[in-house]
Amino acid sequence: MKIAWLQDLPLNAGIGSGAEANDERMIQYGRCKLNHVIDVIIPTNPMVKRLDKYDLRIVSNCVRFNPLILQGIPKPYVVFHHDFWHCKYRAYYPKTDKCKGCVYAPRWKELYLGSVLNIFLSPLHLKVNAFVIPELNNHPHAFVPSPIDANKFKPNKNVKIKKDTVMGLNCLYEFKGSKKVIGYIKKHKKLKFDLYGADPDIEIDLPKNAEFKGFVDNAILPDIMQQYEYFIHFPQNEAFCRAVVEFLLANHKGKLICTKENIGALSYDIYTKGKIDRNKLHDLVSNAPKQFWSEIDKKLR
Amino acid sequence: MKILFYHKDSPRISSSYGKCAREMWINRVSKHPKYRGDIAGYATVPATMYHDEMEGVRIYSNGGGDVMRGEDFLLPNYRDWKSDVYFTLMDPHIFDQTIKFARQGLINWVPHIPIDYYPIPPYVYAKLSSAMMVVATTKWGENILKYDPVSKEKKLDNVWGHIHLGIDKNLFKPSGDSKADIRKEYEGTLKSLHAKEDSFIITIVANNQIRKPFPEWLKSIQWFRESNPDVDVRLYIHSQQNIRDQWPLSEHASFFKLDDITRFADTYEYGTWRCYTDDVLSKIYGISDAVLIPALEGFSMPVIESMASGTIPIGLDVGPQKELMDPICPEFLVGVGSWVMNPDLRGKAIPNEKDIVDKLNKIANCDQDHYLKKLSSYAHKNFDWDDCIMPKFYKLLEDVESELDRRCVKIPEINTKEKISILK
Repeated sequence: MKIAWLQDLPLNAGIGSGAEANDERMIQYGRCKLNHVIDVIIPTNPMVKRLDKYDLRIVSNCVRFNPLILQGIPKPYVVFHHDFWHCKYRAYYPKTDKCKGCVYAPRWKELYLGSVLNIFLSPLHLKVNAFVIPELNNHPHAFVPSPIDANKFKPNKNVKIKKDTVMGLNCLYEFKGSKKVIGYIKKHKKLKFDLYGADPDIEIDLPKNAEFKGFVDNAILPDIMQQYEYFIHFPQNEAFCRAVVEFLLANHKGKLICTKENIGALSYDIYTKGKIDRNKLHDLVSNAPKQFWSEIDKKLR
Repeated sequence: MKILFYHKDSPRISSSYGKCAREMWINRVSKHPKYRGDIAGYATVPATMYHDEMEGVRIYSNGGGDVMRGEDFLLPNYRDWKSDVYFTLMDPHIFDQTIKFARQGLINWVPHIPIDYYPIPPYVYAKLSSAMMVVATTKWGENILKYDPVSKEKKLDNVWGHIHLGIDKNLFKPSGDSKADIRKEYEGTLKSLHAKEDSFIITIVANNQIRKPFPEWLKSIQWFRESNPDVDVRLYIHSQQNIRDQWPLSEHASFFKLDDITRFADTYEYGTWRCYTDDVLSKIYGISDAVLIPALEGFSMPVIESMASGTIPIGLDVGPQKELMDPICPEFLVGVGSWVMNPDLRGKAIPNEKDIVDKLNKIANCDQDHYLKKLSSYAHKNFDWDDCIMPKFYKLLEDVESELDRRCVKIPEINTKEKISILK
């Protein structure tokens, strides 16, 4: 099948985030295992005007596209949701009362409801979108988690967990709940917090029991995650949250300090006797690319 | 709410644009407790390389570049001020970059627009559709922005309403109970126009622009003068005589045999800024018998200023001047002689010259003192900045703030109520 994959950023430019990482894995699987011809089309690609030349269009992160292109997109197409596009602040601030009359939503609603399938990263992801556009509940949809390399994020028995230590990743960003994190750190003086991630670029007065460790390369992230007893994460709403899943996979004894109802990954059925079942989680994220294409295939058949 | 306002002219200039910038933003909104410190201006005329400040309000430079539209430095200024909203008072058809930025969501644009043509060409509707809210200067303008009577089609759905421009009732008011009293009080002004106590003074307050029907006005005055040889007619034109590409007014005065009775504001600066302040202008209105300005204007401040000063204006029986005069002195509205279409489809009305002569005769033969109080109290009751215009303007600002909130211009407060749990 010849497929146009519409995406804001070039996938190999190294400037994307989780969304681009997801796309890359899905595209790789589609090309290598299923022999699809997939053209990644960014807004400046001249092929944006020749989308009718493809058998299928997959609309990934597309906020930078000319609205007219998306309005006139030929059918069939699949919408692969990442953040919450219709929201001016993307994934982070829906669910306020005024979201129900969101001025930005109508344009996206038309796109979503014209698709053959909407793919969400989690049941929570749909729930938050449907808060603004309730019709999405009744439109064909599937849940496909972010693909994570479970072989990379696996526990290491030789690493000893440091007691009363808490790891945070990018949690000093406001949309990841920085205020709440700081409040929690202040209240729990016996715990030691190591906060990793990119510099949030604002002055934050960290309590004495917390240290900002800065950015770390993804390659050494599993080794770091294995050392901590806890992982702290209080996002406003996160469609999936790779970091939480990576921690749970890399550290089977580790515990999460989190706002559970705001983390998409935790809205899947991954619990056994009230605890997170690492095996279920492993299977969920490992099969994501395969599941992605099989959901599309089912719809088009 | 951080506001960047842009009027075609600097608030230091006494053109209608400059005057409104000064009266609305500098003298009032910027001093309002809710908006103090949140207002900055962006001046175009005169073009300047330097930032300015007026009564504590920052006036951004336009870089000395595009003086007509002031768009060259719009985005840097908008961002420097961290503006939430951009207000303009300017003809909308001129804008180009502003439209682009508004369409891209880079600025939240609220144009307060004078419509001085009819009908509105389709491209103007298209431009205005990019605005967050459109505010007309007249009800007439508001109506044709919403509905195009020519194509019989509904047009803009982002029209907020209309807000008139205003006058300061403490400044524009009759200084006596009769014209004779006023002329006695302003004897110096009378002399400066080379007029006597019994002269019939006609005043034209209009910037010298090719779009204004100066030849028709002057021709009418010539006919009036010729048909009333016993009347000592005097003409004061509150404008610059000769500007490049505009009317050569002194030549026109000579052509219409009016040069012996005509006085001009000597230069543009004198006419609008340095010498003739509103204070002087109110005296000129006060001693005049008629203020002659029938034209299709965007608002026509001279109409309300002359009424507030107790002097009868002669306006056009179409558009804003009709709206302003119809409730109080419709008998001085002049019919349209013909319509002229600009190449860009903006229609202009030319007043009927004979009708102007009739109105001048009517004024010459009427009891002007009867109109003095009637007109000034009407103008004070309906157009005073503080009593009438600004309350509506503050209502607009509140609605703009709500709209900005609806559009999430500021990051909504993060909900921090979610329960924290520890999961194994």
